[in-house]
Amino acid sequence: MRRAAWFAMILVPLAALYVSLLVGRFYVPAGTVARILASPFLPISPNWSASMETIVLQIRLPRAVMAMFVGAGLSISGAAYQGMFRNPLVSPDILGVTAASGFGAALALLCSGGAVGVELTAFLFGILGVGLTYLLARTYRSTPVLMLVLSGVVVAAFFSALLSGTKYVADPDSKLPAITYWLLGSLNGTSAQSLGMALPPIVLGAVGLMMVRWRLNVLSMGDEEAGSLGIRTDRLKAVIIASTTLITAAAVSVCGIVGWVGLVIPHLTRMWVGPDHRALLPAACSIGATYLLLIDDVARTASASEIPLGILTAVVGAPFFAYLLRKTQGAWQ
Amino acid sequence: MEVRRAAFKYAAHMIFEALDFDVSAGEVLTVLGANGCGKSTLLRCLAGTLRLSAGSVRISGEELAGLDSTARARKVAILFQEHQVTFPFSALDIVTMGRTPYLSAFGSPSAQDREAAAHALEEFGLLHVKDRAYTELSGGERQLVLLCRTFVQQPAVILLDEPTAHLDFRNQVRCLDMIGMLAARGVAIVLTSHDPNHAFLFPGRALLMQLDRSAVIGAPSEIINRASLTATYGIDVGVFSIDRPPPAKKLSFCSPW
Amino acid sequence: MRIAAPWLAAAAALLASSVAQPSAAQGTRQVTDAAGRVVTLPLHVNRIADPWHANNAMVLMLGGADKIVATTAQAQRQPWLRRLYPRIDQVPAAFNAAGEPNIETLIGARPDVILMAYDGTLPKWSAAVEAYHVPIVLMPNSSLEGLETTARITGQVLGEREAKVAEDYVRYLDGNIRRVRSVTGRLPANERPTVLHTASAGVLTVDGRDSVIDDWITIAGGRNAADVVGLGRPVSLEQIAAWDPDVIIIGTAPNQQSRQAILDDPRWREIKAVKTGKVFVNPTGAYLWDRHSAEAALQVLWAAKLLHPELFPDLDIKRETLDFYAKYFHHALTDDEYASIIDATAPR
Repeated sequence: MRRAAWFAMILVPLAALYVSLLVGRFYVPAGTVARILASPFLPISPNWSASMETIVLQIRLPRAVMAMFVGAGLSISGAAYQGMFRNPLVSPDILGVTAASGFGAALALLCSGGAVGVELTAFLFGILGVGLTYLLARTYRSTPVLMLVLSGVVVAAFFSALLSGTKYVADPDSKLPAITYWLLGSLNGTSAQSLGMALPPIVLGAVGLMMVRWRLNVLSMGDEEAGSLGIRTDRLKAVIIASTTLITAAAVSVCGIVGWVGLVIPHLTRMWVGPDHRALLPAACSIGATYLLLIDDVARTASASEIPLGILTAVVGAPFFAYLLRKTQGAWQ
Repeated sequence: MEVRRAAFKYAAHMIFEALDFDVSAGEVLTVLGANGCGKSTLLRCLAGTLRLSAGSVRISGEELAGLDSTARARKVAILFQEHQVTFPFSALDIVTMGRTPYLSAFGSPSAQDREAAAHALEEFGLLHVKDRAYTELSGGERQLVLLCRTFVQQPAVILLDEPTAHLDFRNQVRCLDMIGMLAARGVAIVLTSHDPNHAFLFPGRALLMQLDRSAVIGAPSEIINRASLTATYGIDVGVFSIDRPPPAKKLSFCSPW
Repeated sequence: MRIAAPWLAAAAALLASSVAQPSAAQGTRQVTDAAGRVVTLPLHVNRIADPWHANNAMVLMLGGADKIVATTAQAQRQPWLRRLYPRIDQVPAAFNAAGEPNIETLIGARPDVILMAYDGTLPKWSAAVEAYHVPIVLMPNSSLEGLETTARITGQVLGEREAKVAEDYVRYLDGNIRRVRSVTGRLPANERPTVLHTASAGVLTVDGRDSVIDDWITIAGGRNAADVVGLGRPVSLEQIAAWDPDVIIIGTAPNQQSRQAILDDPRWREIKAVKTGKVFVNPTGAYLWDRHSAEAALQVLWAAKLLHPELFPDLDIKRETLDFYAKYFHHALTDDEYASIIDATAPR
């Protein structure tokens, strides 16, 4: 990719990050934000209230960073799966991670787990769900794509049913609304602590995917063909599935169910940078990060009551996707 | 490539057995047979994609079954009949994929790899499609690009499964020309074909897989005749020849009676 | 013709009486519910089904708990309801958390009437139940004023004895409201502390205007800090910081845990209520005091004392609670038990 494009890929998200720190329901003047951000590095005497500092550094900054990592993570996962399944209509949920995570979170909320308990349980159940799918799909030393998809459908349906079960028994005055809103998706609960829990798996998974970018290209030609070019397809698929699951389970555990990001962003990115995963994966990270960051800004600022993230991404993502489909007429040029 | 006593069984169904043959560098072995006689299966066994039920395949002296997939890919390249490309990679990208067996576990192709790929395209007269999307090329151009890829893979043996299927007449000729060029560069080639005429086009032998599951190997001029073709295809086919002025050799072709 | 005339007259009279206003048949009476429906009930109601979690405690308070033949798992789970009325455990829980019945269990319990909260629409299973001739009585559930109506209707449905208790209770509730209002009614806006009432942990939701929560906050002399409408609205932390409430009341379970989490969380540190240590847990007894339960009568007192202690020097919440429980639940609270109610922990 051209030099200018690389620069843009790094600068645009950073610029979006800075802008996001300026907006919010609590008024903090732009100049003050800049000074608060600079204060750990430069000797600036504080002329702002402690509340403002808490808002910028403890509430807005962690939340914005989390939005970027979740957006980047979901996008790179979607792109990798679309390559692996050779199908541009695939999203990271296809192997059941979202349904399983959602159930884990609901279970924890039902048992009155604190924020950490909910995140941990959601994460572990997400991994469990994909593990089940993988085991179910394993046929004699290989994991054919069709088996993965079908197993994913089965596992997702199973956990969805369990999730409905938790909603059925939940106390309608406090637990049920908590579960409902959690499932709709929100970055409301982001703290420095949840950031510390979610970032390592996301980064680990993303690094894993980046390392196999070229092999993903070859894998997208088909299992047999990739095998003939020397690729251990079952091993590569295992690496890809493990990496994306780390990312998506972590993302869902801190953010709830946010759809349409892992599906739309890879498409858009592919239209701009082409199908070569060496450029596609990093670009998807960059675009995904910026996208979710801006959407979350709207979610937390547009009205006094938070708009659930999942609703916004669907309301924005689905029509946009329809537009993309019309524009490309189904081809990926 | 040396094949000894190769046999393949699918469930209880014997596809072929006791096959013995050699293919040396620069030689083209044309495998002929009716649909369903096991040509593709044989090819897959030679590629190592399917495991033989009995017998062995050796390439450059090394047992194929003992090689891991990367080592295998450096020795054998195979083009399948069904080919699906979902994403619009450029022709250069596709050819560069041939270098995959030589990359490290997490590596990407280097500048040299890309140059080698571009060079191959140029050598085979395909430079003009280098940057075009593979999905936009015609069927014939695609096949040629894939053949380029097999070349870049620098294997000892190239296996081709009905390479001229789905091609129009012109592209069939171009494809067969390129196969000849590949052989001339010292690669051993095994190709399956539905058209017995192909056996006459290349320097090398023919393998006829007959309807009774037996196989006949030999020079085309010797083994391809009315009787053997009838045993292979189950219809009455005659072999004809046309003399041409020297130094051109006699032209042979098959046609149903 | 002359022979036919008296018969005609009698027939006409009969016809006229049958098209006149339908009058109660023998052994029945009529009640007008919150939806304006006129419901026909048997003279003596001995079996009631109560899918409204909070209302079960109300029925207990009115003295009609022995008549409950079908209830909800949610109500059964309230530790204090079980302590006060152990039989509730044996009552079949015919209704699920969303208030939907297992029709067969419900009909099998042979209730004379079903008491329900009315949120504007009839539930979709009402037709099925009415086919079995089980009347449904709807009651309001969105304000303190509505609570009085609910108490009255519940009493009316249950019977004469319970209706009298209901009247007594409504007088008491009214009296408490008036007592508090007489002091706080004069308070100007700047002397009313802003109060944030949280509805759930896990995902942060708060209760806004047009709700029973808003009602008692206002009566108690406060202002609802949450500028949203309805119960359980999700908000961002930043929005809460922008509202900067003076007082935070935790209305979620487990209340003590949620309270501690807020006090420990660095992101809440700069909010006025946290800085001044005014983060409180809402008491929970036979039902959550803050949510349209019979103990709402105590809620207004408790909230008033919390927000304006100096204006209510003679108000002894403990005394009021002990009296209330003794009179209406016929239970003498020990100190430990009282503490567990105020702390919203389970009775030991």
